[in-house]
Amino acid sequence: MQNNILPTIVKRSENGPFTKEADFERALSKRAGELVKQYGIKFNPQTPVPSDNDMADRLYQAGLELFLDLGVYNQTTKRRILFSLDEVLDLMGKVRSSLVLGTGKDMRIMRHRDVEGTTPAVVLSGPTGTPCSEKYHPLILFSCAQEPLVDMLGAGSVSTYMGNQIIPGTPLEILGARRDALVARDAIRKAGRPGMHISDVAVPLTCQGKMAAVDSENGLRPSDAFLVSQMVEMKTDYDQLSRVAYLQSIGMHIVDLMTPLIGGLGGGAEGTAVVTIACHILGVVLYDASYHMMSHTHLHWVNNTDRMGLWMQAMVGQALSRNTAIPALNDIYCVSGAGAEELFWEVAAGALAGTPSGMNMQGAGCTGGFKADATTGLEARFIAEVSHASLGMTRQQANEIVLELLTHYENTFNNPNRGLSFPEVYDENTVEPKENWLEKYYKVKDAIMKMGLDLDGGWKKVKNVQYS
Amino acid sequence: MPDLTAYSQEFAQLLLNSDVQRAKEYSLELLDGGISPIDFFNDIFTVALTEIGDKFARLDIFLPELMDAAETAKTVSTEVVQPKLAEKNAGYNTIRGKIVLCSVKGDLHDIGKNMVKLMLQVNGFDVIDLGVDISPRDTIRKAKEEEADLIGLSSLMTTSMPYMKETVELRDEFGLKGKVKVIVGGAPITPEYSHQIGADAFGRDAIEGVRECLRLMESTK
Repeated sequence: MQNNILPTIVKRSENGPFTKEADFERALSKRAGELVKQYGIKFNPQTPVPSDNDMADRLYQAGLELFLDLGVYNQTTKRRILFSLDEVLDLMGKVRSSLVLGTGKDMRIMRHRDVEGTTPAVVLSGPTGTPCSEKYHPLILFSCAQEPLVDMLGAGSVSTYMGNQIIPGTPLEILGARRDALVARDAIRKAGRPGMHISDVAVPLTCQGKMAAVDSENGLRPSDAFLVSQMVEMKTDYDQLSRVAYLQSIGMHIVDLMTPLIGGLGGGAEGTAVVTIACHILGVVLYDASYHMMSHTHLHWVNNTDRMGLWMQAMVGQALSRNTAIPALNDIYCVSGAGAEELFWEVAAGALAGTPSGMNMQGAGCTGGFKADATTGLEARFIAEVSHASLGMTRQQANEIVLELLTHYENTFNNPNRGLSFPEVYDENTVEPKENWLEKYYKVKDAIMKMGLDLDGGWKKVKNVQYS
Repeated sequence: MPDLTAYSQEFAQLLLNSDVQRAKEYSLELLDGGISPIDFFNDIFTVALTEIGDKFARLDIFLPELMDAAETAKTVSTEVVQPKLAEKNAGYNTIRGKIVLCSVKGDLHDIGKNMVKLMLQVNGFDVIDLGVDISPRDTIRKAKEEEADLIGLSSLMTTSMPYMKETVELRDEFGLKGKVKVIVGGAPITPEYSHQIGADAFGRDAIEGVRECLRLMESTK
């Protein structure tokens, strides 16, 4: 196929099978359930980090089959965009397995990672998925950008502009997008990392809003990235596809954002994993994504640190690692917030399930998005420390530790500790964590080191690799 | 007195099996065996749906199972329960209320709204589904036109939330406060926000949404 297949996508969007959205959803649910049975995919709560290569490969085949059978639903035209197996294999074969993100000394390379491999995961952080106030957004971004182990910054989202609610498609969306892009650029400049990769400004919800945040001096640059979203599940529209057209034409990185819901249309962990594989294929075929942001969450708790969420991260990571060249990235999404000890246990489990399963790291999404400003750079540091320390670890070893980590937080899901607001856990002037927050960090760190993970020595495993 | 609890549990299982034929047969057996259509509707059908809703709330079952069970229940209601009620209890109305439902302006998500719609329908509500991206004016106009008891507003995005507030304000300006109750829901919505904008109720999910709608209808009696 040609490199630019948007004309084909538009043509198929206009001429593909007309389908009511509800019928597409029913068909997706039914087919996902059938494929789970057909390919013998089984979730075992005692094995949140499975070591079953064969099941990983079967999961990939099931996801591929789902994508070929259903295609992608275009909400604008209410038609399905279908692809042949040859077309999909052709495009999957062209996937870039490593990416240069950012510029100069702050540039990082995100790579396809092997299962149980020693290639370090890159760590993307920022208040992605956690709402921020206008007041504390700049400080929260800086707290992440200044963390040495954080490689890339997600600009997150603020829902107001000078106290006014931002309504999509209005001038406030443009102003909000430009402001947030500038705040992110300022944060990395202040941190002494002006070339650091910025992954998206989340406030704009329209294509025009995203375009407004592109500004080589005071906004995002081609070495940065914007998200192009999938609507739950396996749906797109012309607004999202127009972003692809714009980003491709200016040579900017595209990130494929998917938010599969565990317990939703895909069913349980197994069916949602099948859907998630199909979502990654969608991101390659339709969006020509540089990298993919897997943000699956539990339907009610809005996290992925429960057993089903961890299992899904591990299985999807392994399936992608073994069957594609995709540099996969998982967004660790937690029920707890900054200031809560449980947050460190949650992110540790997420990092430990993902690293030996071939994932790169993102996080932390805090409080399930329910409490504003309850997020900081300290938990991002912890994700990096756990991930780096677990390099080379087997999945079985990781599984044993994850089971122990779960005992520290999984009983809080129905009554989560949403934690404290940024100024309650960080000094607003020095932007350093306060004692009350550091105490919890060291407590959990010490406990995990006693479980056999060398959290102080992880840097030895990543030295000389990050910049090569 | 027959053990209606045991019947409701068995009926719930048939709904979960999505065995439409057997669920219809079972309902007919009970109705022909002496259980009145009103008792069947209130103490077996509704109780079974509540049990299934609770299972979904705990994620003991997932959305596809819930959707299948609700579809099966809808068929049983339309093809068995309603005709029996019309035959034996002329005048008895199983419609518990009329609700105008939509995803508010700027929001194109509809999975949550569709789930609420299905659960409301099988629980006896007449649902007028306006779809997604609906302006406050269109919502209020339809609610007036349909003489609705309730308005259900869904939003999955923080940027669409102001339209919920605007809808509530417009309802009040049209003098419909107290006559048409507003219930809100969606991922970023909290009970505090619901209270702050003057909505009458908040539903965390489809199941709680139905419970709250029933409560609102009770409170208007």
